[in-house]
Amino acid sequence: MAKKATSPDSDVYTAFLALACLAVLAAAVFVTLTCMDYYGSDALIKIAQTPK
Amino acid sequence: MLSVFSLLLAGMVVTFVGNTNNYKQWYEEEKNLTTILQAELTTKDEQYNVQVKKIDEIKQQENQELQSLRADKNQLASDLRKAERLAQQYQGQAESWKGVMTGFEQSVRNLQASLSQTQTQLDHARTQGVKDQKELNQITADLYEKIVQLQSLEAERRRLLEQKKELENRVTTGGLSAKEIIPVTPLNRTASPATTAPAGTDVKGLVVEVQQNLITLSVGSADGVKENMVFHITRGDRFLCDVVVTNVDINRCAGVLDLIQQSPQVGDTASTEL
Repeated sequence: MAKKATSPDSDVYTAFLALACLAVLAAAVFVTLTCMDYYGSDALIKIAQTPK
Repeated sequence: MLSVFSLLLAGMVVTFVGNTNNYKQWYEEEKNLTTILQAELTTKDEQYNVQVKKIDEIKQQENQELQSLRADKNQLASDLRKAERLAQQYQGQAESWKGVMTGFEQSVRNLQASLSQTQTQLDHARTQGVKDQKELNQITADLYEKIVQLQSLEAERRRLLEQKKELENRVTTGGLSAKEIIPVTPLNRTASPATTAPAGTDVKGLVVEVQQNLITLSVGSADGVKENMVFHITRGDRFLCDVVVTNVDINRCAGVLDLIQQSPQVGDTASTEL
């Protein structure tokens, strides 16, 4: 069966999806920096560790 | 749709994280504050202990002083009760003495009244005595004068009888002698009062009687003493008082004291000139 080439109907949706991904990434970076500012660089590691 | 929801969720997360508080910073601040407060608490505890110790010492001193004051209070209360008993006792004695003194005062008043009455009677009797003494002296002087006159008349009578007898003898013998008859009894002079002392001469005498304000001297009108004459009473070289003569007899006079420096006594010297 021959491979059917697909193409998006419009690049607006792709741009909107990229903008959303960038916003989520920026939010994650902001949250990380804020957490490091408040609680130090070890906080991210301690958060990931399970409490004994 | 998923992208819109992702954007919305990312915005909410950013907003939430942006508005969250820094609890670690708060914890550190609170921890530091707690440490400071703990240190202050420790300091305050030490100060409190020191103050408690001082207060305990002060309490001990106050207790000692309180015990001392209580002992003093008990002693003072005992003294007060004793003083009250003594006061009551003295009050009773004072009341009894007051009654006794009232009786004494009444007795003294009665004695003073009696003394005043007696003094009045004595003054009256003394005045009467001086007056009687004066009359007696006058009568005695008159009697002496009469006796002298009687003796003179008796001598005159004897002389006349002798002359009569001599004349009778001559008549019986019949011869008259030209010689004058001289009686044996001498012719006496009639009695005459003694001459008084000339004025201005010093009259001296002695104090023979002293009665309060009245004094009697041993000189009288025969020595030249007159009423209102002033005698100076002395004892040795010491002046005692003056006497103003109020009554004068022949050999005595009486007067009242004046310028009294010291009370005179019997035997002191009285003179009109010092």
